[in-house]
Amino acid sequence: MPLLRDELARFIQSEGHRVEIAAAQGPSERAELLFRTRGYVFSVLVREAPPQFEIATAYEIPPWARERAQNATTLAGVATDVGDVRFTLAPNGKTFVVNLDCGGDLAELQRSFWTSVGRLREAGVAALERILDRSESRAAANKFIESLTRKE
Amino acid sequence: MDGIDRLAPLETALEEEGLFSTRDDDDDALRIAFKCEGDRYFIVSYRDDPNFVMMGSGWSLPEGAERERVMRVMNALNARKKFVKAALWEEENDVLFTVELCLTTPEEARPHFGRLLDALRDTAAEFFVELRAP
Repeated sequence: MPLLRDELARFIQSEGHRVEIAAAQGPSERAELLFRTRGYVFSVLVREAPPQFEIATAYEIPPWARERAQNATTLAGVATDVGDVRFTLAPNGKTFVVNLDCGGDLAELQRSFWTSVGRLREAGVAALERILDRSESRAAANKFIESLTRKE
Repeated sequence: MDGIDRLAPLETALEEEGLFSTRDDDDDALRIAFKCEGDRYFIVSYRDDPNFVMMGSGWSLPEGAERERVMRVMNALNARKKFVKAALWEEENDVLFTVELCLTTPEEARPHFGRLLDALRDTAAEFFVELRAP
């Protein structure tokens, strides 16, 4: 019986994308498939038994917007808005990962694959925009306060 | 004809985007076919017009689509979208989205490839959303 990781890799390749199978830990263990689309690398975590798929991608936060506590709050807010997409902020605050649990049905995953990738992309972009908006607002507020303080 | 493979830099750009592609050249034209997220695209350059490069995708119209509405949506997109041109094709059953470029050197398009592909993809997506809107 073919491994799920191989079947899924063939599917992604048939859709036009190069796939790298990384971090395979033996035939029955978890594997990570990596592919690129629209300039971003996506990973699909595949567990063979019981079957389980999870798609993820990562976004880099610009250095000037890396306020860890504020960004964690922002990501929690976006997660509430977008439903079952999860956000994880890296401990160093430089990146965040967007994950979507896609269940264990390969046929269903293939049917909804690009929709799921699109949902992750939209959620990630929305989160990044909100982080940047808040950082810009905060920077503007700080600048305003600073200018007032100087006048005094 | 200068003997330069005008599409080679775009093949490299496709590779950098992580996409497979195939070549189909003949005496008249150089052609690349590729898929992205399951959708098919092409790039073509004619040997007798080496500065011209076109990339595009073709889509079937939904059955029963009203010609007048199709034309109205396409016209709005042609007016609003950057780079992309939409047209009816193949006895008016298909809609074709293209980006046409005039290049002095083949390398010019390579750094912009991702943006142009996004423009093509987004225009097609917007076309179908607007066509189906009530």
